[in-house]
Amino acid sequence: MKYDCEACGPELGAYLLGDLDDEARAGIAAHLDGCAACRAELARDRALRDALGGLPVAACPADVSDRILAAVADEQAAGRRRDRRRAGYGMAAGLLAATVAGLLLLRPGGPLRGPAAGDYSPEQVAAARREMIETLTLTARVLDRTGRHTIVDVFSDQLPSAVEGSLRPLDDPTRGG
Amino acid sequence: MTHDTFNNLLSSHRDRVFTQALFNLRDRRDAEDVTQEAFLRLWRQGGHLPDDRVGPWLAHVTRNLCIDQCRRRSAARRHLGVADPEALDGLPVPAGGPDDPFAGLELDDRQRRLLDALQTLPDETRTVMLMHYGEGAKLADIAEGLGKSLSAVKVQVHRARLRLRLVLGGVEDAPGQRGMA
Repeated sequence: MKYDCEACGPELGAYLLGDLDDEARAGIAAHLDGCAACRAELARDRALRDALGGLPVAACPADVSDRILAAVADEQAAGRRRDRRRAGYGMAAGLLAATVAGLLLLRPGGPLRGPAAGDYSPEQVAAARREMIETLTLTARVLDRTGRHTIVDVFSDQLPSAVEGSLRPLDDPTRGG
Repeated sequence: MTHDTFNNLLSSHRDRVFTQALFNLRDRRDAEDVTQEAFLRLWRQGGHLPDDRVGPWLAHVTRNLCIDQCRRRSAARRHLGVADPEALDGLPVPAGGPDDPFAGLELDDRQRRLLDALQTLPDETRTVMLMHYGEGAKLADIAEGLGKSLSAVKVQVHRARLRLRLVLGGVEDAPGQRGMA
């Protein structure tokens, strides 16, 4: 491509910075060879580039660094909370699935029918229920204290009632649902 | 990325990032916010960059954040009913005054005149000039960041050069700066 002064002007900055394809660079170089005005223009561009590139560096205020580090720490803590919550939800989902599966399998008339409530004395049923609630609650608290799971966060203080509700016989009129 | 690694990168690059934002935005608070956001993005990036790519990566991110900030300023001014949002960009900020964004910088007369001249350009045009001439950014990359055509950015740069020359006078013709590419 053949360049005249008008076409050359807007390209000089890119020419100076090596930001042109081979064809454009060759065309501008050919024009510059024969044009003193555009050579002077290019020299001004170079001076402008050097002047802008030579501006001093400003010191970043110390409190900005502090803010950055604090924000990074916040993001880290939020990430850890998120990971724990995900682990807790996963565990809760697994526990819930196991409970539902167990209730379905062991329900009266189910494929793995266990003893009905009437096969034991009321005292035996109540003792078994308490033992199961205490075991689940204790397990959840231990897991929570290790910081590895948040199952107590998920269930909060509803855990005993939730478990107890699921243990009521299906024909119990006080059972929810 | 470990905290130590991040701390080292922060120490090495924070002044350069802050300066880039300060010259582009002419506002210390905006420059601080952009610096913070750029380094947060570096942290989120997770340390996958080789050391020698961190500087260019930060410059690219800072550039885009400055463009976004320029857009927000213009939008805010339009929202406030300013008829010509870019006209406010050229208002001079007195050197040494409480609002001087370059307070504390050691500038000679020539550099001060250059910064004053840059202040007369609209936000976006000033950012384009600093990116192209100061940082060596390719015009095609700048055009992509701005969502403009390459030819439009070339014209923008050309007009800004002519305008700077009027304001700068002798700055561009400083001794020892003439020559051919």
